[in-house]
Amino acid sequence: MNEACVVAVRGVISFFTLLIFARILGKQQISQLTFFDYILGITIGSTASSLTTDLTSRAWPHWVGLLTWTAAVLLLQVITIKWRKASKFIDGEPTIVIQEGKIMEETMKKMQYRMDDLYEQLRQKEVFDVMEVKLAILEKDGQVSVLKKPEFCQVTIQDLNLPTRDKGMATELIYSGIVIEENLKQMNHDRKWLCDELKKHNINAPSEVFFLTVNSDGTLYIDKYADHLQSAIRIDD
Amino acid sequence: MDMKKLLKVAVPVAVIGFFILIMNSDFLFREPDGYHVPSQIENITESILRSDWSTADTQLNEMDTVLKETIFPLIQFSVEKDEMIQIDLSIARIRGCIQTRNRDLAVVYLQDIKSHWNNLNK
Repeated sequence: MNEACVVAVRGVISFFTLLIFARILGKQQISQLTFFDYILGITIGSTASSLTTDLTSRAWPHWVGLLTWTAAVLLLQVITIKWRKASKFIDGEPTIVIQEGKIMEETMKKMQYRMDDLYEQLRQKEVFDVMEVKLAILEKDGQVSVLKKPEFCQVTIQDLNLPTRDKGMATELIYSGIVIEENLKQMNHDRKWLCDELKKHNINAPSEVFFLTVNSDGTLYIDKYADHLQSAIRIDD
Repeated sequence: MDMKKLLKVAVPVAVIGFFILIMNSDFLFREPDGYHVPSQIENITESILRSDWSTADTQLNEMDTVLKETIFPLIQFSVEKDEMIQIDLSIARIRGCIQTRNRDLAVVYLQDIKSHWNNLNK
């Protein structure tokens, strides 16, 4: 019996099973991790790990365990999508931790949420003084959403009545010197247009460009391989 | 359903199906070329009970070779490692019993192999 060979085969099985199951579960697992989702992830990962290396038992029971947990998560997802009440019970609800500028100590105590945690998360939201906050909500995934008092809100273009220009989303046309033909076609341009635009920036071929994007208004962002910087900024110690 | 969508479903299903087959493939390789291990255990038991030690030794060696060279390499991905080790240990013990002409203990270990063989995929 070749243990390494068995581990390799079982590793391939658990890796691709996990990949397929993760795809079935969708993006909710990554983007909205609640505490429970976090534990689920760890458990599923741990089961996959046992499937790979625990040779004292067959691979099949571990795989069935993996399937069971994934099916349970999928079932909970379906339930929480279909029934709002069930969703509140399973995933919890957002909690107000600051209301009208006042800290809700009792609520925080119930949630076992410390003042230090609140301060830290406010700082991450670029709020360095709790006085600026009108409303703060502790979301289901542990993130804090903040509504500042009007006097501390940033001025917007609308406040200043300035004309706006919608740039839309930038689309990649060249990456690593290779032209992305699908995107070029999608933006209703062709190779000739691209070469003309490159020539305007003294670039002879797409292979000279590392990254190029175009906005819906036609503005180009070009990053060449040759950066020609006088001195590069170092951020390491 | 277009081809791309069909492939998106068919490929993962095929992969999962293939994995399930590998994890339960022992039933395919337990009897290579019609070699039936429980029957061979019975043959060895009969030889030992007849005190035909020479035949018992030959039969045991034959079973050991088939297990180690043909069956175990194929079923190792779908059975418990410990059960295979136990079978291997019992064969070594029976070999000792044959050398010392210990009939009782040899039969006990043969039954032990039978039990481990049945538990390979449980």
